[in-house]
Amino acid sequence: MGKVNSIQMKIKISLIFFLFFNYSLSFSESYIKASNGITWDKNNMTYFAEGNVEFQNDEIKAYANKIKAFYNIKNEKEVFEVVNLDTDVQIYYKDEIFKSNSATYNKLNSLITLYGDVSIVSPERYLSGDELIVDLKNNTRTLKTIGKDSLAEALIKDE
Amino acid sequence: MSNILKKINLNLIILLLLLSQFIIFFFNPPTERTTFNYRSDSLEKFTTMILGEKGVDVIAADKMIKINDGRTLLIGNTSLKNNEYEISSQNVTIDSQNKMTSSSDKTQTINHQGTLKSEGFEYDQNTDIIKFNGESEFYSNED
Repeated sequence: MGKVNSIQMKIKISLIFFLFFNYSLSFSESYIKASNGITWDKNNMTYFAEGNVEFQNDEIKAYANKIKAFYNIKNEKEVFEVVNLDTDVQIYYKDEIFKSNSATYNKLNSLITLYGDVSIVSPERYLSGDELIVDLKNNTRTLKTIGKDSLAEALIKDE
Repeated sequence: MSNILKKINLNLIILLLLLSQFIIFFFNPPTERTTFNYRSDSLEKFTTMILGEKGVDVIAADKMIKINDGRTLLIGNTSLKNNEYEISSQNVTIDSQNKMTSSSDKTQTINHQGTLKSEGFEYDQNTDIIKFNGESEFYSNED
């Protein structure tokens, strides 16, 4: 009788552990934080954040003074698809930091386009220019500088 | 002699009193006081359902006080709920003339995408835009 109770208890604990584990996996940490408030425009399906704004999703973490995030509804859930970042932009992607005056992050195309005083900082390199296109899917970076040829590089993953 | 002294003392007292009045008048201006003339139309544990263009809005509050035809106060814990979101806050003002609902107290909003916490809110019914004021954070539960 005691052994049966012990087995039941173990099953219950395992079930609770599994449910918690599954719950934490099903929700990724995606957020917007702002010191001067967030405006939700339902008709235009946007969130506009001002102040020291911080944005994070499963791909990138970004900082700027202003962020406008456009969302769409998929499977009855709203998902951020395009994020416009303005003033003192810093975007963190793995070990790279992209800095610029403004930027657009397109989640659907896995593209980040940065404009004005652009720089890439990573442990191996520092590059600067006027416009940078970061293709997260194909892992390429295209840096443009006014009056110079574009610099394109493909990052090869160490498998 | 004693009568003269008494007269002088009285004059002194009157002079001091006048002087003190003068000081009080100039150095202690009247403080601004805001008073609400509560009429009898207030309700405890108030809940109402309003049929709008986008469905039913449910408004609940610890206490509802109607200040005048254009202004209503929702005192204590207050929630505004419809099929798109639920705003929970305290001490909410409904300005029906300007179609504005607002609060300066901590606010939590839950919608289809996640949870938004702020230090207050302003909802403009004309534009259907909600401004969450102060330090704000929105945690999305997108996959």
